[in-house]
Amino acid sequence: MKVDFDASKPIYQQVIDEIRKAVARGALKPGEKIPSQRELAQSLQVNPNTIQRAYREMEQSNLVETLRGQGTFIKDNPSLFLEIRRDMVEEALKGFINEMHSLGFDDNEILKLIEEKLQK
Amino acid sequence: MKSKFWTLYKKELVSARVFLLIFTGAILLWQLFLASKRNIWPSEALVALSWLPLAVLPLWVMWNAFNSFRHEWNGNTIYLLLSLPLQGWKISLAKLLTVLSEFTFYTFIIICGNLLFFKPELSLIIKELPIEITLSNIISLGVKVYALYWFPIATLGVLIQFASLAGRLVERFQGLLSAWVFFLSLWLVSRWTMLTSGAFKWVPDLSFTVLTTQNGISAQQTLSVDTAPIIATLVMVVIIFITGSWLVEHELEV
Amino acid sequence: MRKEEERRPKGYDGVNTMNDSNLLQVIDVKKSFFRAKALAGLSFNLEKGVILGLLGPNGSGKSSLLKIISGLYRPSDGKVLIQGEVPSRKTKAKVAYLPEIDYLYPWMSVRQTLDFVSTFYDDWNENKALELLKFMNLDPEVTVGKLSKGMRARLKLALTMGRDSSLILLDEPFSGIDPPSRARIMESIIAQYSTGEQSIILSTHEVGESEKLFDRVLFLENGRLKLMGEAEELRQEMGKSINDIFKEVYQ
Repeated sequence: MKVDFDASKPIYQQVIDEIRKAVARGALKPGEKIPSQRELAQSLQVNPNTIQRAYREMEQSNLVETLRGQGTFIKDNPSLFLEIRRDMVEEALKGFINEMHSLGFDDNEILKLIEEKLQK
Repeated sequence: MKSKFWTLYKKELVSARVFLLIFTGAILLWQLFLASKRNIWPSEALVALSWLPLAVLPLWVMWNAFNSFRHEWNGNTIYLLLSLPLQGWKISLAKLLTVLSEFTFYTFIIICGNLLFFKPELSLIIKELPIEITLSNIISLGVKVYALYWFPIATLGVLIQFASLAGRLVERFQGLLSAWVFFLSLWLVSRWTMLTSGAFKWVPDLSFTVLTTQNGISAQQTLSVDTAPIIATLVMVVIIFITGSWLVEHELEV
Repeated sequence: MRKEEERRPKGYDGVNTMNDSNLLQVIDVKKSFFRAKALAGLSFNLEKGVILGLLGPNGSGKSSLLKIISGLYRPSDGKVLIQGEVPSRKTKAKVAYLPEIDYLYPWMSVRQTLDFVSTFYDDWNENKALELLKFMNLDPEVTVGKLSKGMRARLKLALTMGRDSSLILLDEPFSGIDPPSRARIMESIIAQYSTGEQSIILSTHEVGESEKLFDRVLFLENGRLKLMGEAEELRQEMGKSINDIFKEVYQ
């Protein structure tokens, strides 16, 4: 895994986002093993405590599970892929729409702009 | 497990190796030079002069005792030395012992050089000695005289080491403070020795048997050296050494 | 009780609760020299398991603080407690200190240096030290005096991280060395740091590349605490990187 961190945002959050994106893209499958905390800390050059926090939060939000002595795995939950995809689509759309609204576009204009953009 | 003290002592010895080689070479060269004057200079003079380095060495001991800690500060290695979890006395004793070991080693080199270069002269001198004096007499006398010579040198070493450490207590005028502490401790030792040597009268004296020859008649004479002041001095020297070691562990900064 | 521990005490909010996790207490420490004041009344606590970035420009008192904790300076006023004890021979056995300057004997080889240093520490971990040496590409037979500055910095780190110390003090480990050496040193710190067991205080005046290392940062200015906080929370609250906050603080 390679991440270009934006140091102006919490790093553990960016680690979680990367994993979620990988699941949403299908690059990480449900039930698949992810690197150990130490491996990830080393490959990302990040404080192991930060990675620990990311893993803890991912466990709490049921994204991953850690099996004693075996490692950490993406939760083997067939609907997980869809859930994350839905969540991420939701977030992306929400962010985009909010941005457009703040620029003064109304819903119709936004729709038109998107259509124009997509036809190109 | 390796002994901590031994590791420190070994480190001091190894770091002194260059000077050790230079001085050993210098002593042997001096003796070789004297040997080249054989048949030109009188043989007694040759043997006597071959011992000359022993008179110069105390200066070297003083210089070394002053410098061994200073060197650590100048090279920043004091950061390493003082961050080790060590009793102060281990650090200062390793340094002191190294200086004294060097001195003793040079003496050994002088003796070896003597045996190497001046064997004919030495055997001549021994042959001329009265029959009553055996080689073991000479050796035992030599050892005792050497011990008496060694002791004040060790004392000087302790005082100078202490002075160099005390100088580190201030940020400025370190040299001045060192000099002042040195003379103060000299004065302290002599006062203390005068005041307390009476308490050590019970210690047996050191006796020397020497043979004197007068008008062709040789006679044995016993000279004795009062050990009381030596013991008294030793007590003060130990106290000063402990104080210096305490400074190393508890007071001094890098 | 368990909840208390998980709550991650923050130490710097002035609460002086002595417990097992209270590794280091700095209590109103002052340090002055002939004319200059290096530390002017500094207080904070540090528990186990934290990597603390000690940040500030040159001369802000970072080095002096680390020297006091390692027992190489005595505070002029106030005190430092390491697991409840003032710096002494006993605490030196638990604290690993990497000074900024070259403190190794130039005539020793790398191997001799390791042998020498290892003799004095009960927490020396030979396997770890050898692993570090290998990772750092250090030839054990080379003389320290012949190593480049970057290589000497690598050796210094191997000596410091080669111990299983509960408190590790790294004074400017990245300062003035080549980028490959910096990367190696950074990687080694991450690889060898025992999560939850050790705490590291790392001082630096160049925050950019090391900011991903820190759990918490402490900004020093003229020997005083300017700002202290959890790195992630500062990023969240201020929407800036630690490096940007650093630049802002010392404008």
